[in-house]
Amino acid sequence: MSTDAGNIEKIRSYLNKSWILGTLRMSYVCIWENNEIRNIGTEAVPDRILKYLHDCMESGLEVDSYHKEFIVDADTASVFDIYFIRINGSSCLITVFDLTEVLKAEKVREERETQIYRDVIQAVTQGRLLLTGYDEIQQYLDEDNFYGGMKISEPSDIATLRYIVRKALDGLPMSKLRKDRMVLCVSEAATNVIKHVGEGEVRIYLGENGIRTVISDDGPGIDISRLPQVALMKGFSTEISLGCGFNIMLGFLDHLIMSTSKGTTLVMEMNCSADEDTGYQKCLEPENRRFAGVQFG
Amino acid sequence: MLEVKTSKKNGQTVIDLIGEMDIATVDKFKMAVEEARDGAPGMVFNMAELTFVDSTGVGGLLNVIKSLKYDDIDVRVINVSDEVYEVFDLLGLPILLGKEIFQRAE
Repeated sequence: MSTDAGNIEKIRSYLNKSWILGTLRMSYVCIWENNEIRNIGTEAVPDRILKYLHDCMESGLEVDSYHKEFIVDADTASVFDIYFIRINGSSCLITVFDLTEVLKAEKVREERETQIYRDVIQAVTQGRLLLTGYDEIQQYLDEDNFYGGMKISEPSDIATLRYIVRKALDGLPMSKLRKDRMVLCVSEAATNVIKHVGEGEVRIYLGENGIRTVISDDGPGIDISRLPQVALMKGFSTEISLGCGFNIMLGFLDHLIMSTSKGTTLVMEMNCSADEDTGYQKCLEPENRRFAGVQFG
Repeated sequence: MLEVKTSKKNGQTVIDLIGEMDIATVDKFKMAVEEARDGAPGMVFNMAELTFVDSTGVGGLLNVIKSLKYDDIDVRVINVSDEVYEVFDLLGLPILLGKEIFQRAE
């Protein structure tokens, strides 16, 4: 029996700590009877909600024993959760919960969660994988150093893309090993777009210290809660569909920056420095070197 | 582009892979294996002229080899370049299939 009491105590303390639950308020309670709405709570239902409740009931809302509706009040940017509970044939109990603060709290919690994922992922990948937002990732579109790009929509486009990336890499003082790896990584990312979304765009930038490609699509995005697993596990045995290409990218790239809120954007960077086979190599920008904005594809 | 050439050598079926194996070309390889597998005691994939492979290509290769092994067809992968082997290794192919079936390029 003492365990039960302990459990109840635990649940109680958990409930007390839950700030999402803490923000939940029952705002209004009323009864629908004889085509009229009668307040039974301390606060009267405001007119704008009352109007909605009338509409609901008069439109012949079939309340079997229980019915639930969400309404969004655009004027006050509020969201209400409304429960219709039938008492008998002609009357119905209506409770109105204001969810506005709950949703705000949930958003804050989601942002915290995302921040934790970002930190964990950055830590387990030694800083190589950075999760970021859609707005933040736009700063990587360094148009002064734009080299070229193409849209991809068919499997055969990926070979063309590899050819373009190889050409872009031609002039860079980077080892063949790293160039091959970069080509492979771009191929993996583009293949993911073709497989999971169908079409997307690739932009290539050449900077003083290396190459950057930005691959974007308008797909549904990647579930980031799976990323720590992907980042930590290797090979096919993981059975994660997005896993393999991701393993390659994480294994080879110097930086992988990802935003997956509005579609998915992947920024992939390979530096000229610290080649495994050539040792440290400073990547010098040749004099007056300017990359023309050539559009391929 | 991927060119797939099938030939017989010392009772073995040899499949030469020439070019790049990726999402657009991996099916060509799979089809060539399907056509050649019946009654073959062993199969050799010659990768001397395979210039590129990515995880989609490796995934195809893995499935093909697993299916051949299931039918007791002996498989060997020969002339694997360093670049290609690096991708195999990263994806755990030697661990999953056994190192002995891979013969590296000289």
